[in-house]
Amino acid sequence: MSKIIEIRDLTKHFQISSKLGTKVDFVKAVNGVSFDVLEGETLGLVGESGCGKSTTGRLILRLIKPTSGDIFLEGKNINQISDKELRRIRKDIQVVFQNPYSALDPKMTIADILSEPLSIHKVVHKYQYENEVKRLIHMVGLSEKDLRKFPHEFSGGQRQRIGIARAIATKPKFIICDEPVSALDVSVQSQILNLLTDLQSELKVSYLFIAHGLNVIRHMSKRVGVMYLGKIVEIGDVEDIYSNPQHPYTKILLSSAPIADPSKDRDRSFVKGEVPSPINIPPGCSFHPRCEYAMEICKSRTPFLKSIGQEHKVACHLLDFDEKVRG
Amino acid sequence: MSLLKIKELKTYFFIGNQEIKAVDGISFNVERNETLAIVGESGSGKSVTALSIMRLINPPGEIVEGEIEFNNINLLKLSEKQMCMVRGDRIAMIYQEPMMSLNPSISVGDQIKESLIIHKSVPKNLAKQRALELMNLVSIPEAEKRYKELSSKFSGGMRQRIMIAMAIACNPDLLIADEPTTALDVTIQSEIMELLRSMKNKLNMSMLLITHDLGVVAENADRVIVMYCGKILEEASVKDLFRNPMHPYTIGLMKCIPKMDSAVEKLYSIPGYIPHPSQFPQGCRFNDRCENVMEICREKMPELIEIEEGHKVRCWQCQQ
Repeated sequence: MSKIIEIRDLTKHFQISSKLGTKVDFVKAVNGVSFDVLEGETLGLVGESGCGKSTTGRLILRLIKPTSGDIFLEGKNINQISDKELRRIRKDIQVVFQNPYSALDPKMTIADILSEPLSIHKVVHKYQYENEVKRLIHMVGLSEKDLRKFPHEFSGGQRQRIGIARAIATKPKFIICDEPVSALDVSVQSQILNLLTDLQSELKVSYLFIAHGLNVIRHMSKRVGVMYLGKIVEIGDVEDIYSNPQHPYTKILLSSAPIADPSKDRDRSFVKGEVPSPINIPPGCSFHPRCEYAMEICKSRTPFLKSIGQEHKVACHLLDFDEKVRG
Repeated sequence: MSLLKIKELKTYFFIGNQEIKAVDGISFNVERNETLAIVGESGSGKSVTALSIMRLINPPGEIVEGEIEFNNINLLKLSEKQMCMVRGDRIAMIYQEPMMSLNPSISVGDQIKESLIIHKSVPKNLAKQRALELMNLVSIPEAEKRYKELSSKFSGGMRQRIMIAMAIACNPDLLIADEPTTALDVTIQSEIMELLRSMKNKLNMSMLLITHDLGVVAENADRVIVMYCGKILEEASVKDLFRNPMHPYTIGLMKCIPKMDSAVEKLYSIPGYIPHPSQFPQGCRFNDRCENVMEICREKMPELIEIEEGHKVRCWQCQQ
């Protein structure tokens, strides 16, 4: 399978100034993230709030400009292109947002919302708008009579369907789903997840699926990247990571998720302290102040992602340590 | 002897000429030292139930009928002044959004000691001492130093710890926790639930845990109530509910959560959407989403009937 998206060493530092505007600080939201998304696959991105997963999504969309690093869409570096070209490329990269209440213009009818991308990107000829819009609304499981309505007339789940219809309108190759079900109730959540899966097999589109719900990530993704303070600490096949997590943070994250089965006694590990501010990221491995296995080297040297098996990569000094001990 | 007995509670909201039946005739008990979870999706009436117990329903909402008996006193008969003596003292509540429920301009220490001064007439200097103890109890590091800080200086998890310290200050009999971890990250969520569990045991409290997360329910509750559109659909011990869910809605809810340990191609999903509270269907309120719907379901609302010991279900099919 060919690569749709390649991300290389992507960083984004937001500049903030102190109250008097004298001292300048940087919020280091994304710190050297690299990954690929293959054709037709879903890469999950999981992490807690502030880990930079949404910023990564926005960087790929080029809604914000990266501080450094490269983003390739089908081999073409879209970080270096002109605004005019960028507009053309946006057709291929679409997004589904978390909050379906604020992602739709309340003054536009659904028909308008869905035909806007068609006209901007000239997907079909003008006289075909009506048919195309009808086709889209059917694809997401709503009916033609919904086209005349306004967003406020729909429930959260229905609005998310409209958001998805808008995303697929331009026939994109790659969709970033940024917490698409976090704002929805569980009974509606599974409808939307199924819809996304169906559309993927129908349209052969790739997803970057950003979420904090570990079970949702597990269900949707083929591969998953775990982020902590702007870095990917572990990435690989989803089954591999869930059954055999290697990074101490991944282990804690997975053991924290509550399981809907009272007969299971959980062996739960807790993490000490809280996520440090992304303004003052600890040196070395950024997880070391909270890691129970932290060694001297973790405080000074940043671990790099190392392959430990097929497609399974981990950024942790413990793995080198283990290797040395085993000889 | 139950600590809290709710009988046929109805809380309606009157908006324009619409009558929104947010809570529509629910009855349940909370025993001493137990954790009862109310689980439901948005609009099920779980939060309105909690606010009704606290008597914090404001117009256009109104408790139109029912009894809320707490320690053998009907809370609905108390004057507002008497209710103030119960609130924060015998019944305490923590909310979903700790940032919204803390006063941003008073130091957290002062907020914790406030209820001690009001309810327990503790002298101010002693109250500070006790507030510091409480901060230590809920594991806020460097309590002494952070006592004077404002809530904006704290992280989400720490704010929820402060809320818990405030709630347990007067040693309440009942702690109502309304989605206490929904706004928090999962690693923090597991810590806060652990803290709530240990506080409940230490202080011999009962807990009413309101959540939409079946995982949180499974790990924390003794008994569970499943609510949908203002009605209780199922009530059971946590073991029975997860081992043998009976109501189609409960079964559906459990099936549609993605699992952590096994992969399925396609998730089960409950068809349709939660109806708007002004447009509940006639008969059983779940009938237009139910796969096993029968003629009678569209005509008459089934009663909540005990099918096995301690396991009640409101469903025509289960009653046959």
